[in-house]
Amino acid sequence: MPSILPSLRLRGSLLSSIHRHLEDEELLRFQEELLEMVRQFEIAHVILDLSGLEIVDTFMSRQLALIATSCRLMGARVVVAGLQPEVAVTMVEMRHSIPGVDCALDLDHALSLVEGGPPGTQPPGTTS
Amino acid sequence: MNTALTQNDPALRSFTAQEARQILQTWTDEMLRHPLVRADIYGRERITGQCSEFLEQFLAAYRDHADAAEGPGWEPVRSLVVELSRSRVKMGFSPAETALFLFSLRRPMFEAFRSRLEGVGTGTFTEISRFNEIIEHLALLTLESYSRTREELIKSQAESILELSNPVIKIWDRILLCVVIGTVDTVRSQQLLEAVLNGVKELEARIAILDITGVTVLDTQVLQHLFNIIRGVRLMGAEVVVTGVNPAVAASVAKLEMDLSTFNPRSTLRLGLQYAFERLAVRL
Repeated sequence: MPSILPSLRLRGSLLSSIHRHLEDEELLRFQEELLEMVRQFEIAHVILDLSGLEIVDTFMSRQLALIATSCRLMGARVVVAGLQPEVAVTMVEMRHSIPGVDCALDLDHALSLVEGGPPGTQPPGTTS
Repeated sequence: MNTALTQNDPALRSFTAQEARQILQTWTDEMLRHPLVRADIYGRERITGQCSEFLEQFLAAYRDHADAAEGPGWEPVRSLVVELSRSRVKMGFSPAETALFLFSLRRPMFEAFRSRLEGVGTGTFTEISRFNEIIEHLALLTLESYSRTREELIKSQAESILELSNPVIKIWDRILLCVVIGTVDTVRSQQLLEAVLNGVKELEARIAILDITGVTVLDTQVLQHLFNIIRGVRLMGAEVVVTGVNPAVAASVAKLEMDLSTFNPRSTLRLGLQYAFERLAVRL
């Protein structure tokens, strides 16, 4: 079965880009695939690139939080990268949040967070 | 009915109840007929009621206090005038419309005086009346013009202040500075939020320093706005440092018992910058 979204493995991290709106069942299947890959490849970090999203609604933010928690239960940390300013504005105003994830400005930032370099060495902490 | 009085008679200042009624009638009629008086918005009864109340105070003061309108005896009347003007401003009346309340009292009063005065001919009265009307019109004009100019000035100053007080600056690589000045109402906080988040993206900032030295009021609502900015910045992978918290602000915010764990405050901009440099391991 073709995967919902393509994922790349990069130095122990899993990289996936959610560039389009996913229906509820698609999101659930995406989570399944992700968790399966985490298990199979002993993934330590899951980087979710959301730069292509124009909106993150209530369902999606809740689902992303669940994905984060499930990954953590399997020993992987989730980094959300590339949230656009407009999306962040709406999320803040609607009080949507994604607890349990680290956030990065872009993929570059996400990778340096994962690999622990100087720029913003420690992740700022989970969103709240 | 009216005993003829000479001009120097103190009884000139005193009006009978019937005379007062007549004055009131003429006054309200004239006012309600005037194109500038918005009887439709304000309500006929309300206007008539205000006229009645005012006239009672006015005639009493006129009778009892020989001093000028600035004197202590006229205080109740002055208060009433101020109150009436305030309510009209709030209802969106122009200065001319507001001043008309008083100006339109003059003709009925002139009539009342004239009908009692011996030796004051119709001709003199007509001239005085005409002169007064001209002055009145010009005075209203200066009033309108003055007000309008002030409003324009205030508006342009407000715009300048707005432009000045939402700057998002790149203060260093990966470090953004936003100096917040003045009041942070809902509109401004929205602008601030967008400006800071766009700034984070454009400058690829890892740290956003929010300087609140110039914020005039820091209550729960403003703090909520600040927290929204902090939340938004963190969603984009950056960190916030709030600088410029002065002792008075610190004391009052402490009383609010809010969760300030993400506030990351520093008392001065210098300390905030120092923190940012250490965090990003900047070598100067």
